[in-house]
Amino acid sequence: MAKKPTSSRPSGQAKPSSAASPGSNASSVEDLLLAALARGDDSHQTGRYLVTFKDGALEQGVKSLQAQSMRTADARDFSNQAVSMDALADADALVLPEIGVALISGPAASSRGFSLSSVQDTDSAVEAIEPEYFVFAEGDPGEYLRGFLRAAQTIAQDLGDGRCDDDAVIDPQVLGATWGINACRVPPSVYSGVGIRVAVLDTGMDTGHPDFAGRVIVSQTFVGQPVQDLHSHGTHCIGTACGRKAPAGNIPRYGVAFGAQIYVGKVLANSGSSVGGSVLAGMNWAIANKCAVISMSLGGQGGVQAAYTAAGNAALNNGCLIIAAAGNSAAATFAPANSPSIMSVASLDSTLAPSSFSNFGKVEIAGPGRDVYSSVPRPTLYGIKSGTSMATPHVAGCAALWAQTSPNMRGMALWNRLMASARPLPFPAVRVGRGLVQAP
Amino acid sequence: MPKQDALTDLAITLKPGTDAQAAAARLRQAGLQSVEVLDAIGVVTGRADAATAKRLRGLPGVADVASTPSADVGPPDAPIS
Repeated sequence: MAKKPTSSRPSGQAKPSSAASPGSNASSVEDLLLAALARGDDSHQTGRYLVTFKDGALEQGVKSLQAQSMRTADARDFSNQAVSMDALADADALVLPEIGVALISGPAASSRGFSLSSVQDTDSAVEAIEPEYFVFAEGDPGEYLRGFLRAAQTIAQDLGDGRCDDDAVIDPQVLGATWGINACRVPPSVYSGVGIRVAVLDTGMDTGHPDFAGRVIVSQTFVGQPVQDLHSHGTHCIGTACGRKAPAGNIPRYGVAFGAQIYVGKVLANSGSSVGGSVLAGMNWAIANKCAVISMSLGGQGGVQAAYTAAGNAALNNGCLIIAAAGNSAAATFAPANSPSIMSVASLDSTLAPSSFSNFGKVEIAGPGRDVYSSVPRPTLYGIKSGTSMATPHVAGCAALWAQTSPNMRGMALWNRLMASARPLPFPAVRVGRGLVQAP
Repeated sequence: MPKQDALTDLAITLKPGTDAQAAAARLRQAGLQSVEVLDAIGVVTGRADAATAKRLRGLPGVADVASTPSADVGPPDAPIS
């Protein structure tokens, strides 16, 4: 059972209050939705803000908020950190220590002339500040807002009570998208990955594929063969991570970050195998080119490799994030995904259960990996593949969308956000990590 | 004439903060061949026989010497990849 904040926290903590003003941390979802409708806001923002603190800087960040006369509540003051939002009273900020984030109320932000850039510039504890967004079930959120208003009005007329149950399940399938794209909630996202460099280190790409006409594509080979993909694995992975929003004809949407810049690193030969140090050379190239997201649907058996770990650390220190496939042997996670500095991806079936082949152990997150439809080289154009190789670019694409939300959403901040926003699943963490990756 | 050991592809991981170019020069001098410096990740790759590889481990700035990790995604028609 949750309890209200106690007096054990430092000065500046919240005191109980009888009513919640719109946009406060104690506001119900209904209040926030109605406030958004009242201000004619199509941005899907709640009016509140999320402040992500740098690693290890949580307490410093909380003190900084309190120094701005913000009353803070802390999730640690609730039993099992199960925060009851309606018990937050007049708290200006709710601190969530497990994920290093504080939720700032709208009134607190506006009454203090809360300037995102000024806070960020002067407060070394802050990693990123972003608006909080409503999270909807699949479908058009604008229509959901309109539908909510209609339902609220009808109920208010019928019962003389403006309240309604927010447990209604709005879960229409998004027509024209693959199961994986829908499961990751990509279609409702307002982000495209524009301005974000996504490196896919694989067997290359069919750069003449019609679905990628007009896209910014930078390519480099590390195997002594042309970048042109004569295997198909690389083109399939790039399709999932960066494929177009609306393919021609009856082809469903299969790609996530349709606006991202594509960096094709051919580190596997057309046979599907690496050549000498080609994988390490490709990682070096992607980091040197400041690719915020580096997708690696490849691996090999063996323990943790120091060179991969060093590359992962270098990536994080340079604002990049390496995301790699856990492997497909129903065994311990392969290298490079087993390195602590590299995000490991497990595979899910369309039932959202872990795929039977998916490796386990060191797993951070999961993505759709069974029966994944995506692009393959001409003349076939499209095909279905399965594996953690297919799950990985779903995560990479979503990472690109998250990276677009803020220039500070890079490296470890991006890692933390992907983990914090994943959809929990009823399976052990060694199989699915934090759960199914979700788009912003 | 003694038989020469086979050359192996090696990945030499440098300690954080090590000057990669200077380390590469030392590695080359110690017998590493086909040297490639991967500045952005602090790794030098090259080829050497087993005796040379053992000697490289003791050089300043070297954190680890290992065979270059390989990766494989199987053939194009692999059911799982």
